[in-house]
Formats: sequence, structure tokens, C-alpha cells
Amino acid sequence: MANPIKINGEEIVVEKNDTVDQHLQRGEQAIAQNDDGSFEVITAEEAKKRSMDGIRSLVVNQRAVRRG
Amino acid sequence: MKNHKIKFPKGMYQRLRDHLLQNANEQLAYLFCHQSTDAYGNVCILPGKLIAIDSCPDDDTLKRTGTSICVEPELVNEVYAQFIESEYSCLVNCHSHPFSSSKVSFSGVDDREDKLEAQYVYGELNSVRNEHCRKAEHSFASIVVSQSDFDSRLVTKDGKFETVETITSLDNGMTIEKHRSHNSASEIGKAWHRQTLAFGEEFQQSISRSSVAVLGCGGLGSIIAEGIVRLGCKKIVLIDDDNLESSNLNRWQGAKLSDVSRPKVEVLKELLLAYNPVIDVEVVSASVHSEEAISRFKNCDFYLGCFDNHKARFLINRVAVQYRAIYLDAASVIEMDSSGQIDLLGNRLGVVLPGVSACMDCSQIDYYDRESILRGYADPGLQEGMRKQGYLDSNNDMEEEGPSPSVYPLNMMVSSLLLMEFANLFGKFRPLAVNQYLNSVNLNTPNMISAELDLIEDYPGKDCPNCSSVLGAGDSISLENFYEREEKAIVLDNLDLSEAIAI
Repeated sequence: MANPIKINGEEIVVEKNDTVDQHLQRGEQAIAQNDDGSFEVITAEEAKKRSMDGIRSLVVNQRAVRRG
Repeated sequence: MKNHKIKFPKGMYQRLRDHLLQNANEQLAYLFCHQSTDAYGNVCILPGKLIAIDSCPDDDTLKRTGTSICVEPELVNEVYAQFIESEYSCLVNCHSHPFSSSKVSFSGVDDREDKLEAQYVYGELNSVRNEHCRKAEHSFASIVVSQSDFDSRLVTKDGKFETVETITSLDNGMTIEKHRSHNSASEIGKAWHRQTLAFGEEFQQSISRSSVAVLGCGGLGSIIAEGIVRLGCKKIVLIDDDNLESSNLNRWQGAKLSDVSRPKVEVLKELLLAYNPVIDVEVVSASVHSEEAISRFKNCDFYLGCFDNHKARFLINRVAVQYRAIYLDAASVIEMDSSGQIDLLGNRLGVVLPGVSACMDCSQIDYYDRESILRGYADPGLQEGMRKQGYLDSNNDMEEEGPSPSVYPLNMMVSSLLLMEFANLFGKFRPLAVNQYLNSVNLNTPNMISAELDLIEDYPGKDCPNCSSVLGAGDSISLENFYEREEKAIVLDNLDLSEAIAI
């Protein structure tokens, strides 16, 4: 599973890497780092989705919200 | 005591109340908000998104009765997840006490639950934010409403409650509500009796709760500051970095010869306190462009621009949209012809209602002298390059310009236009000015009534960089970035001087 390197709000912030820099088109593609440390180029949309899925899984509140 | 407030965008407060008071059961909603903290530690919450909590009839994640409401984790976690994904930093829990027809306050259950929810927002949700987002640290607040009242508070990181004093909304006019237990009978004093006969008590209460920044305390600012105090405003911030000079005395309201050489803000503060000793007047003897000045006035409900330069208008227009403050800008001009005769006695009132009317950047009116703004922002090297390219007139430096003509009665005219519109925002006695008045004295007849009085309808531009991307963003967008970005925006976008910047 590849994880995007960095997310800045709505915009994907791309950290350039020599090995994939030639493939990079700012704003259209992002670089993701795989678990084994290798890099792959993915779409910005995919990078954002993977990141947000990750964030959602961290919202693990167990309490109900009550008011009265 | 802190003076926290909430400034709602057009229509949102009414939509929130409609949801919360839709029937006899308690209801819940969340607000996703930006926020702004001024130099005094006062927080202004700027709601941007309303999440009304509802569920299907056979869904048991939401239980509502006339005196309680319970939202199960699977439903509320969806709200938290959306909040984390959003650009907003402040989460506000809103619920209702529909059984109460008048004054409302938080219950013991609300106190306990607010603290527990705040603990989660400041704790675990902040950890998720730190790991994945760059936005500001989360904060938490709550609102409870009854049929005719509200109460609201910030819940601090250590679980303390700090009262939110006012809720401001701009719909068909400006409404500033205050929790009933905070109202005092002295809000309407004898001094305003004759005025309430015209505009009503609600007008007087709202205006007394408003906070106003007078930006520029010269010939216009001194008249306008006195005017708003006489209308009943009680919280005023005065910004100006100049001292009073002898040459100001022909038009500076209330100034005496003995005041010459004193800071204008100090002289004006003395005068205002003499008119009404119980008002709260803050003074900042610094440029309106400084971080110090902006941090002190940014949370005000109104910015009253009394400048003599376009660079200041350009900046304040942007800050007003970002902090959702109503911006009324007064300007007067006297133009002389080549034979030394008066060619124009002109006034202009600009009205910027963030999110409702066009700002000065997207207005149909060409509001700024963009070249003078560019001169104001560009460094000397860039200015020199622009001169060589012919973009700047080498004989037209602002610094080299002599004093411009200025007279008291003309300043009075535009000050009156501004004060009438300020009153109209609360009194709602005629349609709001959306967006600008242009006015000039008719030089061809003995009748001094304006030759031209235009009310131009002008709405926020979809592509306007201010109205589309920074509206109500508060502290989420730093002003340091604003300066840098605007400088580039002027050069590249508005004036198409890309060649000059390359020099």
C-alpha cells in the first residue's frame, strides 16, 4: 500500500525526488512512497483519497454526544 | 473580561435557528468555523459550514425528546471525520431548548458534556490533525438557543468556559444579538431618547453592542469618530500614526491649537471620552499596514476607512473580506484646473458587505489607482525597473506630491453619507447600499445638492480572489502571506507588468 508523502489541505504538496522528477506534473500527479521505501507516481485525486481514508480510520470516538 | 463573538455569514444564523427549533424536540447541529484571535485575546468565530444533524425515522443513531438529545458515535464520528478533512479549525456544537420561550442558559448536562466533547476535540482530534494537516490547532465552542434567546461559550483546553458576548449576522441589515442576562437597561440612556424615537430601541441596542475601527484619524476620521459615538457606539478602536499639525486645524473636528504636535489618536480619544465617558476607546499610534494595528482592529464589526491613499484601501478591503467586517470607505477630492479654478468637488462612499456585495477588487467601479498601490508595495529596485519600462511616471512619485486641497464642509458631506449608511445597517430604514455612492457638488448652479448620486448594485465576483477564496478565513490565512501574494497579484494579474518584475 502506497501512502502519499504530504498533504496540504486541498492541495497535494509534491516533494520532488530525482528518480521520479521527470514524471512529475505539478498539481496533476503526486509521489507516493510504498511500504518498502520505493516511490510511485499516482494521481493527485488518488493520493488525496488514500490520505483521507487514513484519517477517517483514526476517528475512533466511542462516546455518544448528549445534551439536555 | 474577554469579548468573544461569532460573526455569521448571510443567512446562516437563521438557517441554524430554523433547524434547531423545527419542532418541540431538542435538535443538534455543528458549525465548522475559522477563527481570529486579536491582540487582546478576544476570539472571533467565523462559521463557514453548517452541519444539521438528522437521521432516517428507523435509524437509532439519533434520539430526541423535548428535553434531551443523544447522537451515537457512528453518526457523530462522521461529523468529526468531515471536520478533520475540512480547512476549518473551530468546531461548534449547537443545540436547542425548544421548551424555553425566553431566556436560555446551559444545563448541568450541557456543562458536563461540553467539557467531555472539548476534551476529545483538543486531544484525540488534534492528534489526527497534527499528523495529517497543516491547519491551525482545533478549538471548541457551543451554542444553545431558545425560541427568543441564545447563550454561547468557548470551552478552553483546560475545560473552562468563556462567554461569547455577541452573535452578529448580516442579512437584510446588521443584527447584533446579546444573551439576555448580559443586557443592561443602561444600554438605552436619555442621551439617545430622540434618536430612538426615529430608529427604535432595537437599533439603539444593536449599535451599542457593535465594535468599530476608525482607520485614519484625520479630517474625515475625526468627524466620523464623533458621529458614531453620538449614534451610540461604545467600542471603538482608533488607528493612525500621525501627529496633529497646524495645517490640520481647518478641518480636524474638535482640535485646538494646543493639541498641535500630539498624536491624533490621543487627541481624538480625549474628545470621544468627553462626549461619553463610559465608552471603550482603544488607540493604536501605528500605521494601518502594521501587524500591531491589524491585530488590534481585525475582529471589529465595522472598519470605517478614512484614508487619503489607495494602498491603505487595497489592504483594508482584503482584511475586511477575510475577517468578515463591514467596510465603509469615505473619500473626498478637490480637483483644480490648469488656471487654478476648482474643477471638481467630489465625494465617494464605498460599501463592502463581505459575501453580500462586491469588494473593491471585483466591483464594477474602478476603485483604486492601481499604479499608486503598486508604487506603495514595490521595492525601490522594482520601481526603478518599472520607470525604465514606462510603467511608472518618474515625475509622479507619491512622496514628491505636495499637499492636496481639503476643506471641512466637503469632509462633512461624505462623513454624513457614511454615518447615514452606518445607521441604516442597523435601522434598516431603506435598502442597503450595494455597493457605492458617487457624489459631487454641482458647480454649475447655486443649488449645492449633488450633481450625481448613484447607487450601484454590485455583487461578489465568482472569480474574485478575495470574495471566492479568503471570505471569512480569519487567521487561517496569514497576513504575512497576504502581503507577499498581493504584491505578486498586482504585478502579474491586475497590471500585467510581468516584464517589469523580471528586471
